[in-house]
Amino acid sequence: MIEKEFVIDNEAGLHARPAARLIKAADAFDSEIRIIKGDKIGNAKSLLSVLALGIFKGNKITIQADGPDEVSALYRISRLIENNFVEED
Amino acid sequence: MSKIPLEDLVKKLELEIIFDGGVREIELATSDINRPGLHFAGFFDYFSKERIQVIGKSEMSYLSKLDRDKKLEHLDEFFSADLPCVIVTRGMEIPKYIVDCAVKYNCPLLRSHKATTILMNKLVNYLDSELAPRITRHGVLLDVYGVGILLMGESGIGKSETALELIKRGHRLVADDAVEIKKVAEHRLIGDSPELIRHFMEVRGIGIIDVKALYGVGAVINAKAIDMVMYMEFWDNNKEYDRLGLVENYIEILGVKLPKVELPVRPGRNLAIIVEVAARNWRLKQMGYHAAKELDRRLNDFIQQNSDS
Repeated sequence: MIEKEFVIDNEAGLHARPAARLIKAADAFDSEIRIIKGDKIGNAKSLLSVLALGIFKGNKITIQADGPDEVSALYRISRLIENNFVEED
Repeated sequence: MSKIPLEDLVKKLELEIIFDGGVREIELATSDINRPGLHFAGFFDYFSKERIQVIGKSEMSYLSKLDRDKKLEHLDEFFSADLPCVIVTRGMEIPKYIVDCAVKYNCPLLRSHKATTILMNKLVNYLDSELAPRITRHGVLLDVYGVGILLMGESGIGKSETALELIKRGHRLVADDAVEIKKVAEHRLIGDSPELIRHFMEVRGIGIIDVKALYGVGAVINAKAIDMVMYMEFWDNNKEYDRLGLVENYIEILGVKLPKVELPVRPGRNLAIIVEVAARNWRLKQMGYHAAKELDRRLNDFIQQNSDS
């Protein structure tokens, strides 16, 4: 299991569209991916579970990946968050 | 240790703040309450100072009969114990010497207009619910014929689709995707939805839907006790599935054992109807009738009769 901490820099926070991009990225991997804010844990592959965390600008979150492709999963998601959820081509 | 915002406590129990000392939240480990009668009499050997302290009419009238020096000495020792907060009941006038002590030791002092036993009852109920252990689980919680069923299984196995079919059949949705579970008593778990996503569902191919708007207020319920877990998994030809229902499987959530049914998923299998049957069967078992055991008993009778003759 590996994990990384982020501070959300997206102006509007993790609203529906960025969240949808995040789960789309997470869904492509076999590993279990969790997103943690404070004492709440969400499943990064489930849209509602991510939205339920209510993540906004300035929030500290942790992404945890656990499984066979955890390294590439965490790398892919890190890139997406650091890019403020703008998808790369 | 849990932190409870003072503002919430005041609002929920309709209290009046006499002095808050800038305290925003109080730290509590249990829902127990202390009535400080003995401590006002100077007995501090067993003093549950980590609890909320409730001063009722008997404590107050005892204090008023005590001579001045003793009173101040005992109150000083009482308030010096770093108490979470002190509540005076029955809307009683609070003497200046109590307020002075609260200010001296920066202890929140509150007043209730309720009678002591009524306040204590409400306080314990509120604290039990606030201090209850909780956990978030991935799944869908439904009320099927009054039975709280938690559907679990991997993402994409069809939990939401099964839930939709059940809603269409008149059952009620509690939470989709993220279920917040709270242990409210020794063997009782209550599940509800995170406020932000309450009664929304995600259906792959369609997106987000609002179940309350689509199916009406009768299709949803805010919270429900969890009675059983149905675990959906892809049909595995190498695995043996329960054919009789004589053996009971369990799953543990927050230390509570819940009956667990494994539901193998195969194309063309109508899972909603199977969830309904499981709920009916569970109710029947609760009423003392166990179908598999009943069949077993009949068979045994039959074998016995035939071997006698």
